Amino acid sequence: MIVINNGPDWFYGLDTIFEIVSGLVTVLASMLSYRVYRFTRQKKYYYLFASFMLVSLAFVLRAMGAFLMHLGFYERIVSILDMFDIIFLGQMTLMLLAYTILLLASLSVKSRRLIAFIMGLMTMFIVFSYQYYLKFHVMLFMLLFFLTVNFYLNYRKRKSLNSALVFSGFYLLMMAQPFFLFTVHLNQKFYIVGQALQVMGFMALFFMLIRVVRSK
Amino acid sequence: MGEKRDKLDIVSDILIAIMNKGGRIKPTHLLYKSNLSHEGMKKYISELKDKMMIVEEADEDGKSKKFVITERGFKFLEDYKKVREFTASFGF
Repeated sequence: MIVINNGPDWFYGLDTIFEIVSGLVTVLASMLSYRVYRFTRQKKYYYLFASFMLVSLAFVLRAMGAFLMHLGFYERIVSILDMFDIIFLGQMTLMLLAYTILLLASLSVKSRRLIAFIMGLMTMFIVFSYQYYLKFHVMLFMLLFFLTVNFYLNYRKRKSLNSALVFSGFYLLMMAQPFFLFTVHLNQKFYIVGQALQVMGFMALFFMLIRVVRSK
Repeated sequence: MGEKRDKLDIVSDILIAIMNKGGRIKPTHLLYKSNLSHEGMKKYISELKDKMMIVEEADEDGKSKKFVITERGFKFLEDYKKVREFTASFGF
C-alpha cells in the first residue's frame, strides 16, 4: 500500500505544497526553540526544539516520497520492499516521536523511567502496527488531544493572543486527524479537509511565531 | 504568592530596575528594588559586570557609585522579552 496521497487525483501535488508550508513553519518553530534553549539553557526548550525538528523531518520525508513517486522511482523501491510503505512508516515514527516529546515536555514529565516506558510503548506500537494508517491517526489524535487540553488551560491562564494561537493551532491539527481517517473509510474528499485543517493549524502557529519575532 | 523567580527573571528584574531609574541607579536603591539579599545581589552584580551588561561609575559628587545599564544590558532585556513571550505561548 502506498500511502502518499489518499485524496482525489487532482489534489496530488497540492498536498505536498501544503505540507512543505507546514514544514517551513515547524523549521521556524524549531529555530526559535533552539534560540530559547541557548538563552535559558533549560532542557525543556531543547525538547521543544527536538519535537519541532522531528515534525519538520517528517514533512521533508513525505515531500521526498511524493517527489520520488512523481519521478517514478518510488514504485520501484516499494516493489522491492513490498511489505512496508517506508515513507509513511518513517513519517509516522517521526511525527509520533515529535508529539510524544512535546507532550512530555509540556507536562513537565521528569522521570526517566516513565519517559523510557512511554517511548518503549510507542516503539512497540510502530513496530507491531499492521493497520498503521488507522493506528497512526488515532494515536496522533490522542497525543494532540492532550496537547490541546494543555494549551487550552494555558490560554485560560494567560488570556493572550499568542497562547490563543497556539491553542487554536493544535486544536486544528487535532481536528485534521479524523478527516484523514474518513478518507480511507468514507470519501477521498475528506483528505482535502484534513490537509486544509492541518495547514491552517500550522498557519496559526506561524502567526504566533511572527508576533514573537516582531515584538519589541 | 507569585511564582519563584529563576536566574533569568532576577537578572531581568535588576536590569529593569536600573532602566526605570533612567539607566543609572545607586546600589542601595537596587538592593531594595531587586528584592534580593545583600550577598545575592553582590553575586548577580558581579556576573552582570563580567558579562558587560552593566558598568560601575562614580556618581556626580565623586563619593558614591552608581550602576549603569549598557547596550548589552538593553539587548538582554529585548531578547528576554521575546523568550518569555515564546515560552508563555506554550505555557512552559
